[in-house]
Amino acid sequence: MYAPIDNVLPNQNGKSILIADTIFADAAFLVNHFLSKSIKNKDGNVILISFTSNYTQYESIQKKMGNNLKLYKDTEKLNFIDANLISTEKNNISLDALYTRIKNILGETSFESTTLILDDITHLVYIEYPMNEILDFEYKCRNICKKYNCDLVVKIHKDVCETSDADSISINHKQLLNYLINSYEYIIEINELESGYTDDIQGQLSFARGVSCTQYDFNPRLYHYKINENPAFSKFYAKGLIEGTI
Amino acid sequence: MKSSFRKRINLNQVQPIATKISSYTSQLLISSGIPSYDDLLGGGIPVGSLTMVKKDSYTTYADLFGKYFISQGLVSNHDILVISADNKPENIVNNLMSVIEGKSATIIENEDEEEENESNIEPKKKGVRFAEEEDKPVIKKKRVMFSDDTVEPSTRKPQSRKSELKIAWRYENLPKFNDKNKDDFVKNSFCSIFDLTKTVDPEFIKSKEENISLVNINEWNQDENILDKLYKEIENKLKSEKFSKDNNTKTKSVLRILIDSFDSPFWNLNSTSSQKYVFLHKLRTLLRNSHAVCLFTIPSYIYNDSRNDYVSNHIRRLEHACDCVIRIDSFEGMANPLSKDIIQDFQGFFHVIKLPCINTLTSGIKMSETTLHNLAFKCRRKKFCIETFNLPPEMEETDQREGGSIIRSCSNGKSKLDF
Repeated sequence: MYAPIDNVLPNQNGKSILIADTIFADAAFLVNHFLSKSIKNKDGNVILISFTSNYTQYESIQKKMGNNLKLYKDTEKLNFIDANLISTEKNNISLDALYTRIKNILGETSFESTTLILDDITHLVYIEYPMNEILDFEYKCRNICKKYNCDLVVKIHKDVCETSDADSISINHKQLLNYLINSYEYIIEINELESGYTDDIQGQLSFARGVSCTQYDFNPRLYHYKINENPAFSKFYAKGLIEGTI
Repeated sequence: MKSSFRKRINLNQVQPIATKISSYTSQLLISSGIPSYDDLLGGGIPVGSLTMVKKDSYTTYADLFGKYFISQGLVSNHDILVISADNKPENIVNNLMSVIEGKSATIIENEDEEEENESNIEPKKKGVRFAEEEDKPVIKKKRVMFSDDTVEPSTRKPQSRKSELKIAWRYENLPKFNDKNKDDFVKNSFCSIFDLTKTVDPEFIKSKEENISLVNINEWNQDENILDKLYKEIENKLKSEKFSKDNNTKTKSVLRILIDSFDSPFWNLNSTSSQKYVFLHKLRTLLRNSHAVCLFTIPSYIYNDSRNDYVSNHIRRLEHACDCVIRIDSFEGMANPLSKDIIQDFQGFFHVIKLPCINTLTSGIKMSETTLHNLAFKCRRKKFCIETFNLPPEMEETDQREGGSIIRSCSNGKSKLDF
């Protein structure tokens, strides 16, 4: 768990968070942050839908963050859904089936606060899953999270070029990205450092207020960060503030 | 709090040959054949990773990179799968570079021995030829007789000197350095040295035949879905016990897969961009669950993915499906030709786009960010290495410098003592 991130976002259920990253600045650490946070929370459980990574990846990262996922796997606390094999063919798992599963878990859960994490929704666009179904799935997830007062964390890649050679996938990608940015409460964008490379800073993390955000005490921030496996050794410097530098 | 410094390693697990465990990420690593690239990745290529090498446009250094990957695999007794549509995979394997050190050290020695044997045989043959003349052998015998008396004592002297050390006599009783022991060590060496001026010994390839599998995409029926078929082929190959993660026998090995020029026009043009992405994504999932590593080169320049910041959307999507992405960018064909001094030292830039982070958040590199994005490669006869790109010192001879001696002396030059 990275403490500075927690300080910025209000500690209240029912948030929707969009994480936008690029190939140069990977947001895996943020996904693991939210995963770790809900595992550590006594009253919290998590539904993790992974489209791109396997279970071992999360397990070994979480181990270094101090969580033993083995204890929780296949219990109500951690519902890991491996959706790597999702495909446009009918015989495989579909988004409809996924949604039904989420709905069932949310309906039966005894935990107070649930976090639903979609690790990389971009994968669906890349495999050319029908766009209307992706949008439908995302919308239903957001609504059900509102209904049950759950947190929703969605990761998306934002590096799509606006060039003349844009093909249908990149047009869809761009549209989905713009649509999501305009629908979520909190937007976390991750970029390389705009001033170039340095040794002590990996990239920058910007927290922005989304259109639907109603929290008045939320202050948009910009952090420079350097990630270490051990959260205690990771560094976050708030740009323009003394915070983190001493 | 645990206060033990010892790293917990599962002792029951048998490590595949020619691999090592990363001290940083505890990931199993294999060598790429290029020591400086191994260092860059923090020890070697992680087993289970998928690497994309973006090809250089006017030269073939990326192909060389792939060849290193395979050659090292052959030397360290790994299994190899070469997939190609542009070239015949046989050609790639037969044109690998020769090995200098590593396992072939024994082979080189054997060759030397054979040569020695041959040279021993040759005089005998000559002797047989000369045996028809009766006088000469007699003379030879006489010579031998003489040598027995006179030459031998002199040859004995150095031998006795060897055993009786005059100086450093303390070390006399220590065992002598034995090359044979060294071979045992070198046999499973992690990374070897290759000689780019020679091609590999065909005998060596023949001896490894059962480890090599080749797939020529061009021979396949272009109407079917090539990517699906290729995936199944690789899946079948990986079903073997050898590459399974749970296998704990000594036959454990690593499969190295090289895909040459993936997505070049020779690959089926019918398959859509998303099919290519799905193929790579499925392949990566497959690799993670077995002892296999895949490296593929991709001619990204045909998608206009060139030096300028512009990256094709299609290539970017494929990049997201890979663990490690590098781009080799030779100086050849640059818009503004570089100065001679730079070209002498380096052959091109080496861009790192993505580093493998398998089961970790940060890659195990020790290199600082600034040097990581400032790399160039050089290719010499016996090495391909990646170094920090430095501009050479300016060595231009200016008028000032030439005239320097005159200024320094402050004299008319008539006499050295005249100020």
